[in-house]
Amino acid sequence: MVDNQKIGEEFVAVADSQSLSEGGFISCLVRKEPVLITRVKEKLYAVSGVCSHAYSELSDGELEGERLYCSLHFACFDVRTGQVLEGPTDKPLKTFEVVESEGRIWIR
Amino acid sequence: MQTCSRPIVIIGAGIAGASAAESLRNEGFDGQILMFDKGKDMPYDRPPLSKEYLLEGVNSSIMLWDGDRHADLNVDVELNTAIERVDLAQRAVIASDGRRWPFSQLLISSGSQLRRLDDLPGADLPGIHYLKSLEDATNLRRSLDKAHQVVIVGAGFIGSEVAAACYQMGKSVVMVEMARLPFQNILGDMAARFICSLHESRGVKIITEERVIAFSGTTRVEKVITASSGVIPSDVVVVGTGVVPTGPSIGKEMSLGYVVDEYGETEAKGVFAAGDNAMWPYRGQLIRVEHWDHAINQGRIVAKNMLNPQHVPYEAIPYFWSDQYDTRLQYVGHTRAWDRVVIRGDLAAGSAAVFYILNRQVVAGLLINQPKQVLPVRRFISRRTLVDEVKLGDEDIPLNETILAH
Ligand SMILES: Cc1cc2nc3c(=O)[nH]c(=O)nc-3n(C[C@H](O)[C@H](O)[C@H](O)COP(=O)(O)OP(=O)(O)OC[C@H]3O[C@@H](n4cnc5c(N)ncnc54)[C@H](O)[C@@H]3O)c2cc1C
Ligand code: FES
Repeated sequence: MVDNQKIGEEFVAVADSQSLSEGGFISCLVRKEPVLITRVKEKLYAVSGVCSHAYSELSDGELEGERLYCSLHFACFDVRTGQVLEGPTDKPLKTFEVVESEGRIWIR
Repeated sequence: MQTCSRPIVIIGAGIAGASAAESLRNEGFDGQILMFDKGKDMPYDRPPLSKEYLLEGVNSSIMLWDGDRHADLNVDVELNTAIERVDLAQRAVIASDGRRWPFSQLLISSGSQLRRLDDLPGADLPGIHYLKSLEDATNLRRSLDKAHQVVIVGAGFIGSEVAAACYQMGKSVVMVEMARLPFQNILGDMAARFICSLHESRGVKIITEERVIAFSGTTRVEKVITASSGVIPSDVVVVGTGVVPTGPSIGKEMSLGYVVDEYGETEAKGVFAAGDNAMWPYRGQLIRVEHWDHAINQGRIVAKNMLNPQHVPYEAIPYFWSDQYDTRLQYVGHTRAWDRVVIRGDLAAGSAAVFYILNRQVVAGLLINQPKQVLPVRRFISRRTLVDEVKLGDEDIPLNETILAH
């Protein structure tokens, strides 16, 4: 988990840019909600940090390109849209707006 | 052709049946789907029944199909209807009351039933519970309300989870198990001992190499009597001594399960089985798997093969998880034989990956509080990776560097 520091405009700074490398993910809390941020092909995406199937933390899972796998029953989501690609649920993941500025990652 | 107007019939509205029905619709099937269950409930999830549900009670998320889900899916569900027999010649299913329904294709997803101890003296005393259905779980929960002493017969996964839940509710718990070491046949000595230690370190007692021979009590169960003349006081007894396949007669022996091919199809064309009751080919061996993930996936594959004959072989790596106390166990693969067990991590500290290795290949893995490892280990198994066993045992060496060859 990364510190999160609240700054105006509803966007919250959650991490330093350099803490998230290509193909990686970090998790943080945004207004008490777990959020998973990924960097795929140089773009940032943010989705709910908890699997929409049944409570498992997605940071325990694995990212393969845009495909994010849950480690409990292997649901697979597209991190760009939160859509379900396979697995035991049809509920998409909530997505969040994410931007990078001044060397930091911001979430709304 | 007459068969076009006949529905696809699904026997059993459980995990595999619901998964198959949903997949049929996802795959674009728009004909009639007719589903039967002998129980009174729409499809619900079973794993929570021995975990969250016992602790927390009613929770709408236990229903897989709540509200109008069956109507949205356009599936006709006949509850309280047990199918006794399948007439393969006429292609019809027949209920115990004689009613019959024709089918174009059939999925038998009737699951398994619990082994019962009905022959033991006192077996019908109130307070003796079995756990399979939502109704069973509701009854058990109610009974546990006033109980202090809980005796669990059979230290399998369900027994262990119920023990953990009862402990968390503040009950005093004793498990009685026939084997010398529970779980030893599937997990080997070290991992089995670890699971026992989860219970014993909390004061949950496991009596091994012991058999229950009777129950006694005046209006409710009060004592469990064992073969070595032990008497264990009990307010509630939960029997978890395993399951056997169940389902309608198809005119063939099925006590070991319905034998299917890699497409989930039985010898009878257009008649499929999936889930707990299917005997299916896994790496050259016919096996039965009594786990959730298998039921979901085989149900899904069968749906595809119903619409497109022999289209997608079922090649899943079996998987299950079990939550006990604060420990998550995840097991991938399937084997009763290995020549080496390699432990990566710290078993005593409750965080390790246990690898079961046969001829340098990982054939199964048990992840103890290491959810991040489950997908990599599953890949090892599916790719039949050859590993360096010494490196594998060293957590400082990245998993990738333990690979000798795929
Ligand atoms: C308490 C409990 C906890 C579990 N925990 C886990 C876990 O943590 N992890 C895991 O991987 N697995 C777990 N499982 C196992 C998993 O739930 C099963 O493997 C799975 O439910 C099998 O699916 P199925 O569709 O084959 O059978 P089921 O889900 O059992 O469904 C079969 C359905 O068929 C109906 N039926 C039976 N016979 C007939 C008939 N003749 N006519 C009409 N209907 C019939 C039954 O009423 C039932 O609804 C657990 C099971 C239980 C009971
Ligand atoms: S909790 Fe993620 S797939 Fe089930």
